[in-house]
Amino acid sequence: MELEDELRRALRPVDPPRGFEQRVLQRTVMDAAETGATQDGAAGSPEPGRQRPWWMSAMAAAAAMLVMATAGGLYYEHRLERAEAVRATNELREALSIANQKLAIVQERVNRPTARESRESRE
Amino acid sequence: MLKLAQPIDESEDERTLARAATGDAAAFGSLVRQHQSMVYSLALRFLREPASAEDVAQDAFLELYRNLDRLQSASHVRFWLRRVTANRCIDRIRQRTAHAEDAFDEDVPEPEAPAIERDTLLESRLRDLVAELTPNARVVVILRYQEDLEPVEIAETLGMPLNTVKSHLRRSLAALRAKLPSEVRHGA
Repeated sequence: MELEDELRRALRPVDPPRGFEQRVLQRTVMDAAETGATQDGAAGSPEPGRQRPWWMSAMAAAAAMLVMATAGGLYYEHRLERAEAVRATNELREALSIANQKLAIVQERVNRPTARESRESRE
Repeated sequence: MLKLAQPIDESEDERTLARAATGDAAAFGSLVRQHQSMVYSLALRFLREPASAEDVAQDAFLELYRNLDRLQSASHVRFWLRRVTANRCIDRIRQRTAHAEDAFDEDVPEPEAPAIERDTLLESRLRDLVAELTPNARVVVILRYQEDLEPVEIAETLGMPLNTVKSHLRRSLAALRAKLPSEVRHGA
């Protein structure tokens, strides 16, 4: 048994986990989208002067629109929820105010002396 | 030898490279499929962690994608990927603060086992021992025995003097022999 043969056997190539190629392609698309956010050929761009293929620009634009639409939807939903919360608070405040008024009336009636009590107090 | 692993139809590979450089995703996917085993294995044998190996392999292909228009031939792609992967592995291992300590315990007796299981254990032990070599020595050994590169090709890939490559190989083999069971050291 030769050490070098054993090393070749131990270090023989293996396949990467399933889906590796797709994950690499996804990263290239994300990379193209990120690069699209900066100007072509700007400082820091990995490849000044390299033209992006049309489908990458289209995907970047679609991704940006999706993000904007999602953010807009979430903001609108947030505004609706907030308006609903304000309306509910006002209704509760009004209901408490009415209940308070009713309680005051009831309390006044309870505290008011009856006719018999008035007669007795006069006598 | 590397030469045997080279594609039969070189012109087809050149066309694939040219198409990939113009942004053809299918052609780039073909390049990934062609080299993914080499790149991932290089990283896995060096880092010994599948997740880190995949990270490094993905980074290497992303860098390839960004540099496609600078690569002149299919053989250049393979050479370039080896070099980028090796350098990224060395960088990553140097960034790690914690060092894996010696996992080899010489006091443990060799278990009696069938030949296939013993071979599997031996392969695993060898991979562990290779992982304990210094980063430069490790990448030299992996390129020599995984990729079957000659010392001169390793020197070219890593930008390392030929004598340094030979020295790494000689010392690494001696270190591995010293830690292996006697039947592997001297031949069964």
